[in-house]
Amino acid sequence: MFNPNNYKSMQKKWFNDEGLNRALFKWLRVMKLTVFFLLATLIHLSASVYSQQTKLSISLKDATVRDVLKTVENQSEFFFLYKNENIDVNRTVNVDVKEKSVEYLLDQIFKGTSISYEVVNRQIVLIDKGQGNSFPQSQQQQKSVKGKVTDSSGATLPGVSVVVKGTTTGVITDNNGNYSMANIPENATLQFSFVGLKMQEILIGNQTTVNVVLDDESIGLEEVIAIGYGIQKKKLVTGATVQIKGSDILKQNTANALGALQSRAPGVDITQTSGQPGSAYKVTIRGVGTTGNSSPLYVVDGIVRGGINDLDPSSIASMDVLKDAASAAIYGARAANGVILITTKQGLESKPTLTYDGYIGFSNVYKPMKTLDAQQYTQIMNEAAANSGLNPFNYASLVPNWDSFSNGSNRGVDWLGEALVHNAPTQRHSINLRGGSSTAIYATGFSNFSEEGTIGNPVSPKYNRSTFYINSEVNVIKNSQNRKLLKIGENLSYAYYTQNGINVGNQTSSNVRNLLNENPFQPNAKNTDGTYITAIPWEPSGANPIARMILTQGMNNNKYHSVNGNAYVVIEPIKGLTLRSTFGINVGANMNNRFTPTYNLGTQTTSTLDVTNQSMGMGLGWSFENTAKYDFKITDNMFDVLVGQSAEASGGQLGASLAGSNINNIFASFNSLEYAYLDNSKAIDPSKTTLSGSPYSEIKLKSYFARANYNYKEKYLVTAIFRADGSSNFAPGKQWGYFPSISGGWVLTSESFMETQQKWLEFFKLRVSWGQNGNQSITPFQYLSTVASDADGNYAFDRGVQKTLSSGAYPNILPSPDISWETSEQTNIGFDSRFLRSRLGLAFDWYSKVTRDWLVQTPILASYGTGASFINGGDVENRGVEVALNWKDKAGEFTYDVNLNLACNKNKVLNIANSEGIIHGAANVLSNNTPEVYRAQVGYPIGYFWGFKTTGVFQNENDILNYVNSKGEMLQPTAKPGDVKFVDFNGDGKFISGDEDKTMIGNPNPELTMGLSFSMGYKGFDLSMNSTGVFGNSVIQNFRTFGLPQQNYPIDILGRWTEEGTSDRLPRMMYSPHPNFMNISDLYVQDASYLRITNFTFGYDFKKIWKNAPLQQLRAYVAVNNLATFTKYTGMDPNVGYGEESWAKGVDIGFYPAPRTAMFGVSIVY
Amino acid sequence: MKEIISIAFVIILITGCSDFLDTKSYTQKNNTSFPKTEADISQALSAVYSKLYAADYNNSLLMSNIVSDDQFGGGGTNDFHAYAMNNFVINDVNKFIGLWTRLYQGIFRANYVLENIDGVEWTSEAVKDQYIGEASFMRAYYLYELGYIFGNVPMPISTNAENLPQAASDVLFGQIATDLKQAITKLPATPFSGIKVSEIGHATKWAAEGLLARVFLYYTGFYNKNDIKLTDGTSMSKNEVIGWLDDCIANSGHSLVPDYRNLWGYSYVNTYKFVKDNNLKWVGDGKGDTETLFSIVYSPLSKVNMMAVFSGFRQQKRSPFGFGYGFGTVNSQLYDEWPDNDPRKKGSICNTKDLITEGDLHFQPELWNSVQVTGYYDKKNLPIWEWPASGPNKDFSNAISICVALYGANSAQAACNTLSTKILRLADVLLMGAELGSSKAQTYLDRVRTRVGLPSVPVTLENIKKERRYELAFEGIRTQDLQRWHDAESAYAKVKDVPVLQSGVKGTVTIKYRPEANAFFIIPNQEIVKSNGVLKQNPGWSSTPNFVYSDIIK
Repeated sequence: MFNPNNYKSMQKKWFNDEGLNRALFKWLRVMKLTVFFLLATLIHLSASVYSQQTKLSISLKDATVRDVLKTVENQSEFFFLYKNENIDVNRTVNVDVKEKSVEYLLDQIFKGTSISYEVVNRQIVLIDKGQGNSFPQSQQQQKSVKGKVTDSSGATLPGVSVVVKGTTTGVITDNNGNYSMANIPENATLQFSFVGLKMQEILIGNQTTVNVVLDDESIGLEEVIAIGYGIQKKKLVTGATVQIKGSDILKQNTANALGALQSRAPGVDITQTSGQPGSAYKVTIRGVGTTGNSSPLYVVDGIVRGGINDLDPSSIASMDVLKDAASAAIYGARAANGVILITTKQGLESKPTLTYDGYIGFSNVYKPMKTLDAQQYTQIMNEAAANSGLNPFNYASLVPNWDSFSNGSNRGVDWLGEALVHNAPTQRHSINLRGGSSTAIYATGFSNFSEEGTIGNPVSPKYNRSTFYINSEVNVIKNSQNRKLLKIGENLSYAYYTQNGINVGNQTSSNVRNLLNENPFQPNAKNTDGTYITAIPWEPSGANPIARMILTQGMNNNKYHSVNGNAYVVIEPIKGLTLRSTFGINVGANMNNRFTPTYNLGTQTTSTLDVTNQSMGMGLGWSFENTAKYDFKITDNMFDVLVGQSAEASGGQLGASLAGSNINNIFASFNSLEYAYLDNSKAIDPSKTTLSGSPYSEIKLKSYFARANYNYKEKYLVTAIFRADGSSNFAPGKQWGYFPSISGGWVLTSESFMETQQKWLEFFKLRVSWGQNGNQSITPFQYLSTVASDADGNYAFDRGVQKTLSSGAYPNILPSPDISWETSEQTNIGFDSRFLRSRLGLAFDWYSKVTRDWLVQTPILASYGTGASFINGGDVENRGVEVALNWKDKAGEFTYDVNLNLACNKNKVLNIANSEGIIHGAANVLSNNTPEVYRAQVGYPIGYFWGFKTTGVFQNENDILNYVNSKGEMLQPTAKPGDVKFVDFNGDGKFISGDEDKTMIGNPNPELTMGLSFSMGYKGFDLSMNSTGVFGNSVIQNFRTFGLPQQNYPIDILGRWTEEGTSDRLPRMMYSPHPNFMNISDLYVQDASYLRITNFTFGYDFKKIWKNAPLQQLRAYVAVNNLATFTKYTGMDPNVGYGEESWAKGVDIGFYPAPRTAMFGVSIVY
Repeated sequence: MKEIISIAFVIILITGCSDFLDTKSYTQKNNTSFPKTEADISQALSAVYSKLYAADYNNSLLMSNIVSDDQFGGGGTNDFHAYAMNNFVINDVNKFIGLWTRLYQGIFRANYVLENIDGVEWTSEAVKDQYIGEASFMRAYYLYELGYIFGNVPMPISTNAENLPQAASDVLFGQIATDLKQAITKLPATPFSGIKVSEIGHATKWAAEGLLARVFLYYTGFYNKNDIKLTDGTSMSKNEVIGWLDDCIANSGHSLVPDYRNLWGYSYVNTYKFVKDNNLKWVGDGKGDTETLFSIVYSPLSKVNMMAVFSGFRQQKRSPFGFGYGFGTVNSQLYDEWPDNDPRKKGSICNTKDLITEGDLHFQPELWNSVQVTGYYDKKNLPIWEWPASGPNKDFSNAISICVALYGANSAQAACNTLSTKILRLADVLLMGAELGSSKAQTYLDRVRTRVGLPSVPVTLENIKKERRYELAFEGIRTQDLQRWHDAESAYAKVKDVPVLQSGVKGTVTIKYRPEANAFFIIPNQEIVKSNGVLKQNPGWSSTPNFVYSDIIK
């Protein structure tokens, strides 16, 4: 009988051999041409009778039939289908045709044979008439069949070839994905094939309508992923990588593609430093590996970038996360924290496809924090005063309109409530166009995204981003065999974004914190002259937090431009050898304005001068890369070897920033940001005018790298990578780092002894990898003793005038001549498997990653008298496992898939190169006058929370008497009922408010992260849900300033201890400072585990009911982001990425929460 | 194959250049390009002086005042350091790292100047000597501060980063005295009248002579020595020091200003009744202050004088005294025992009761979270504010620092005080001359007393002690004096049950002096740890007595 494996498309085979599935993955070859020209070409090419219009010119001597057919395929869009055993393609022929049709050519080469052909649009089927027809049609009952072909998202698929298996009979689906065939034998099987999708066979039987959904091949093993400087079949990958498709990213409707990554990529932990629009994400792959820069390397279309804030998710084709050292090793010096490869959408050899995706949405804070209202607040203040032995407050003299508060008619100001923006609008519109021909392919798109913040009324934070990109590729020269000798292409993107916002910084400046701690008596009102009412005598150091937000922070505007692009040439001088040369640039420019008017809001919040700030900067980085890749085969041994070189530079003379600030803006009375230009405040005042301008740090990198992929029958796999990087950040002689890696794989299911297991275990690959990566991101010139000429060296000798300053200069660091790379070494063991006819997929990874020789500015003896430079001073270990499970199936027209991934990571500092083994976190983080609350210490996870442990509240005098050490001595003799029981952690028999009894009271690093997503489709309906779970992490929270007892409290405080049995957690209220609150203890730490439904989408494709629409898809949907968050955490958002150092997080001192957003959108594909 | 070779060749050509990785900083010089000129050394010297600027608790004057028997910690309810310090306990074993770091930075920078001075072409030997003299003075100044605050300290005299053990006191003070002698020798004997106002702030020969006397008195007093052994092995005797003091008094051109009160900033505020009534006129920075030999000079362009901000009353935004953090409240015992006939009493202490009638007070200790409130403040260091031309707005304060009008300081900041801090006054020099036993001792003491209208008293140590306490109150001298006289224990013992308000609640202050700590502060623990045991903690601090709030705030 007919074996479909023998029935090959040559074209398809060619793709696989090359590892470059041309039709599907054309995006790796791009060119530049005007869209107009391309459109014109394409319109021409898509004319209906292709075979008649296509003229071929081929001249070959002693060529095999296979070569001739391949040449035809290369020169045209034709492709051939034939059975290997029927057609002798190794027969040699001579061909010499000029401008002839394909029929003419085929007649020539098959003249005198029994082979005939049939042309169905671009598909040509060859049959040996001599062999007879495998399916004698005459004996079969004939019938007609029609139907529609769609993809898994429900979009109709034009151009799908529908062939009766084993015959030449076939059709192509029309623009609406419909096909119909007549005279088909009843027992025939239809084969539906489309490049890039999985071929499907359906036995017709008595059906007259056969609708087919073609699945992405990507779920299968032929999936190709990006591996850096190339792609590789997933089946053959030996490292730990994960790929997320652009379509999955887009569906989640996040502002930044990273926001969509968390629920999809096990081992990738994503937190936000703030939920304010446009805020950055903190991304750590497989745990924090350093106290330095721990963000991964972002590589967009082969070019390294600082981040991807300026990419619209709609322009992304796929994101590949390289998690283990072996995968990342090709990026050597910068890969220690993992690599995220982003491939933007590339052209396709197909008719133009125009898509529009857009939504409008409305955001809200889903859990606004409640603070005490005026009456609750009064009660708490009175109680605090009484407990502290103070006389009752004379409110009447301190609080205006006291009567209204005392009689309960005025509940006071709910500051956060007043600052909420209800239904803050957000929207995105993106238009993408893709297409191409055998000569050129292109993809281009435009998008606009805007988002308004949910906290900050009336100066709501806004973020607006417009992006444009064009990627194209032209085949410039083909040789006589039609091999593409020279291709030229480019990827170019431009983004413009604007951002303004409120202050979400530290405890002294955070506007959100001000909203949470301002007393409710303070009126939110203005005087008759339009100024805000200053702080009332009750709390003169307070300030109307909304006025403060508007006046001190609210008038700012930040504009950014970024251009990223590369142009490349690909030469294939001999078959299998690809030379590629790429030149890339990153250009960034920014313009910032700020205006701060005069204000008098309270004793601490006052300014008699208006200040205008203006700054600009422009930077350029370039890179030049050259690679040579050679694919060859020795019997069953497949080799794919890459060598390359690159050079990069940025900063120095390539870019600089300028900034200035001045007072007395001539438009000051307008109180407006619009006039915040330095031209409007020209008078120079040496003490108030500031000017600065400096180049960006100059960084250069030079690299050589090589990779060899080897496999034997796709059964035994080995990859070896070596990279050498030279970085200008280190002293001559220390500049070069060498990063090797090796990995191997064994596809058990390809072994003959496993064949019997195929029924349930379709695929099983064991992977083992080991490698080393580097991290070089430090401030340059640490190897020299640099001389600073800054304010810390200036002195004012002129006592009379005080208008001049003697500028000073001093060596500001001790040179660290030996400083070099930080190295991360990782071993990974895992497997990929597919069960039950590929419906179930299971991948597992275990890893152990040790980052050595962190580049840390480890504290030196202060008595050295100058600053520490970076040294190689610490080691940290991350160990963990990752599991990814997916199930995909369908029942009739009902399709569904479920993905579950779990990752757990354990982080432990192994060494810090100072005698105490600690890198201290900043002090004054939670409140003023608080010691460090997080630190990196040997034996503990990075950034763990450090403080006192408590064990409840003393309920009565007996409790205090009974709280004794082993000798029976009281541990807290001065305590009163209602005070906190602190734990004598070091067990020395006494509790001391010093460091001795402090220990780990929380860990912001999660123990387990989970992603769970679910999607289904039925007759044009689609429904999907994504969720993220983070477990075992804690957040340390405080919104109040110690020493300012009039500040308001969150309503949790109502659960305080008031008398025996009222609380065993929150102590009694105190007005004066008291160890209960002053000692940073686990009372401030909360379990912030959470499970969040990050996205829920329900859509319908109206194409189902509006079949004549000239569209492939017309889908409308509703979606909600952050639909529900299940957590015990009392703050507004448990996903707190804030911490003052890059390695710290989980500090909630007034966190701006991520909003819940409801969206209504459409996706249209033409 | 030819294609491959040629492409490889091109690649190597483009990126093979070996200097590709060479980069340079376009905004910072480095040790290969600095210092090359006289101007470079001048900048390096400015950077030495700039370490005189203190912020926060790394202010030795503030610390010395707070720990003295004349003042308390004060501050807000959460300013534990202040009242912990005042009670010789600690709430943070690293509290003084800021001070420690600043002083060693100053020393490092002075060492840097001295090490590089020969590598530069000089226009004249005199200019070179000036730089050597100033750098030596500054190194001595910083070493001395370390010496009386921390006692046992490492003494780096080169820029090499070395984990040095603590220097013996003889060695430390030998180095300080040697440096000061060097300064006296190298610096020119230009009288004060010959010094341009624009150069005030530089160390002079006279300042070096005065500081040397302070160092000599401290070392010989506290360590019970007769002389100081210099680094060259010779000894510096008391008579040599007296000789320099006599030289300073006779030849420096410095003189006492006629009205003591005119030295202090409040005398500038003519709306202040006390100033009007007494016809005061501030001699101010460069406006006729002939008395000050060395001071820390600020400007609106430099860091500000944080001492004033720390000293001001909490939430007070009035004239003549403005906003601050309420540190260093004055011990009412001092006020009570200071005779009223001494005009320095009201010239030095602000009694808040007087302020109600003489100036303006807006002070509610129960609300402003002030602790250890005695009602008396240190007038020499309070921030001086004035009403704007439009006059007072009593509904809400709108007073601003006098530094705004005088120097154009930025009134947007609470911390806008740029009045200079006096480090060494002629009155101190005179009293030291008297104490050391100059032949003119009686004259020197009389000059100080005559200026404030007080009669002559015999030049006994007892009288000199009393005189120093009043004349130099709140100038950071008292603690050193108590230590070198070995009077600390008895003086602190008198500070018992002094009534205060703690956040408005009546309480008391009792200072528990710990003689075992020898008045040296705790060496920042992180330095001890980092030194790998090379540094030893000061006596009395190795098992750290922790601050207990309830022990102090009663």
